[in-house]
Amino acid sequence: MSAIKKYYEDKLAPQLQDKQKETLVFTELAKMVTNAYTQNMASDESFCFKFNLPLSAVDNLYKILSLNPVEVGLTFKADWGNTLTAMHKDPYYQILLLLVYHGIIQKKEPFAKNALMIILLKIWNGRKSKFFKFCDKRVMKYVVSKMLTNRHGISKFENVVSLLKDHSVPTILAKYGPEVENDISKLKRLFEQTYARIFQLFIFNPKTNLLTGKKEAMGGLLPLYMKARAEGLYITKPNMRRGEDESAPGFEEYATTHNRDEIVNKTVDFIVMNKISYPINLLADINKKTNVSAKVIEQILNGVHDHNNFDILHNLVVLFLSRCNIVSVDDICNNNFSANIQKNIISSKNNDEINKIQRLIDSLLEKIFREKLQIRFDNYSVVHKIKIRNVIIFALEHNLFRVNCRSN
Amino acid sequence: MFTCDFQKEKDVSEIARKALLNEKVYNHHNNKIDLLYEVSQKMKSVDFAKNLYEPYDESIFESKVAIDLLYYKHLLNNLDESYYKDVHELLAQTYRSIKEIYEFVNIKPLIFGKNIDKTILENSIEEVNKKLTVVLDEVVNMSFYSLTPTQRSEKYGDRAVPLTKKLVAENNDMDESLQFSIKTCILEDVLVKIAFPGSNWLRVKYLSESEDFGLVFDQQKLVDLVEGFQKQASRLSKYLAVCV
Repeated sequence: MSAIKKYYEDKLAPQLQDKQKETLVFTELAKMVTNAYTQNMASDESFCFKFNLPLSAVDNLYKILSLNPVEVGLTFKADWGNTLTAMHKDPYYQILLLLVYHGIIQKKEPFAKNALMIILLKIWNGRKSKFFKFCDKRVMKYVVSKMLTNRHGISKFENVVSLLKDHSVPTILAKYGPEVENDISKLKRLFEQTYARIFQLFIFNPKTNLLTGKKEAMGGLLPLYMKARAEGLYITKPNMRRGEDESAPGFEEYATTHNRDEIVNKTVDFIVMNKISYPINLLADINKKTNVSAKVIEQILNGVHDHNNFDILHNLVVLFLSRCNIVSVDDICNNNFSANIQKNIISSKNNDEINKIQRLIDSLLEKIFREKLQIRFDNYSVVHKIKIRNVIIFALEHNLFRVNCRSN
Repeated sequence: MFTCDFQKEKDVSEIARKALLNEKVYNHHNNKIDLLYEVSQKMKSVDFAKNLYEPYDESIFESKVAIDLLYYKHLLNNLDESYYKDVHELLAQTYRSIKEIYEFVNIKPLIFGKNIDKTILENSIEEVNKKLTVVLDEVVNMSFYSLTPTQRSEKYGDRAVPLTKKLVAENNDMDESLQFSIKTCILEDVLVKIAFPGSNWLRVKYLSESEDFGLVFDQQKLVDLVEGFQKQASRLSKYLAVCV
């Protein structure tokens, strides 16, 4: 019997039969994937993008499942032999491969997909670093929008995360999943093919250059990138090839996974369709924290509850949830929610998501100031705008909690 | 008005026309002044410095307090032991007010003194004393010694009078009372400079009077905080004047 299969059946499967533990592991995987989406969505790096790998989160899976990485390593070695590369021996991949196997064998597709997606993140980073040590996003944008033919996998996708999620994960699982289900020894093949598919995105079809005598790739991102760079070709504007502009980052598309869309819709619908009176102690608390006068706080909050603000509020709540890594209602209803908002939104600065949040809140405040207070929001200094923005942030925090937690 | 004297009618019309013309010129002239006046009033309320300030930072405030207390340690070197408790309580209250003001106006706290920053905390006591003495000598020199007697009386005369009167009424010597009062005024200024160096104090004062700021923020709360701080600074400066 295969050592990996035996290890899975003896050590892992009994633990994952416990629904609570299985859900915990799935939630952890989902969080890692969500994080990857968020990072990529907030980035302007095109296919030069590199993920912040969830190394400690993956390491934590060993702890959650009480598995010993050394033991797991020996199990893989027993099945796959002694001539393995560093990649085969990496505990990061090994635990995730076990979880991919669990997803396949138990027919839990989302489980297998998330685990495989996390494997792909690291493989992508590794290949990207190898082939593009210094990657100019402007050149890459030119390559992606002007030079790739339809035959190239990347040409159909806007960014790395959609390539991996919508192309690599489903095709790999569709092709190798059934093989693995019948024979666990094919897990190695699945893993190596995962690597090969990412590798091929960068280079493929190597041929000997008759001038230099060296082998050179004829296809893939790398040769095209080198050609574009040599010819000084690049794009400084956002990629417009599908008629989409930069202001449509596609957060909604990705937020719809992992329960976020339900939270977003429920909360935003409630805000725009109801004029609520906020508790006096909340108003006093906001006044204490921001020093904005109580009267103005009330006027701002009244101005927020307007159906014309639907789009701004929708985008804001999506960004709030992604910024605070909220994947379920439980993340909002626990005691850490306020601290989470404080840390990831109020105290955070100088990152793309926060800048987007600020721009959205500013556009909301400009409108409210003009219509309700007859003042120009722009009259206020940067440091005072921070305080006024916090009024909206506290209001959204209150509404998220009110809508998603009180009705439960 | 009906008349057959066409010449007279023409004269009257001429007078009326001139009067209307004069009125038009007068109105035009007056409107010009109104417009300029309006523009100048608008310019007064424009906050040109609004984007010069960075937001409040708790860790910088902590460093600032540590260094400010070194200044006070230096200034209160000769304090009578019987006043220790009172002075330390007053200092604690004053720094609570300073913190609240900084948080309220949301500007980055600054550390007083040229070439003084948090690295001074790593120096030896002798080095710290030496550096602080240089800074304090410089500020006292600028506030008092470099001024002519006329400038001194212009700058501190009015402010020193109430305390001088009070001291004289308590049977103190006139010259000594005046000297002590002026010293108190100078130290009060130094204290404000230590607490709100650079343009920070001007910013606090500006915001406590700015109409735009008052439309959105609890300006009265800021005014109360500033007044409270000024009272505490005034009391503290009397203790300092005894020691220096």
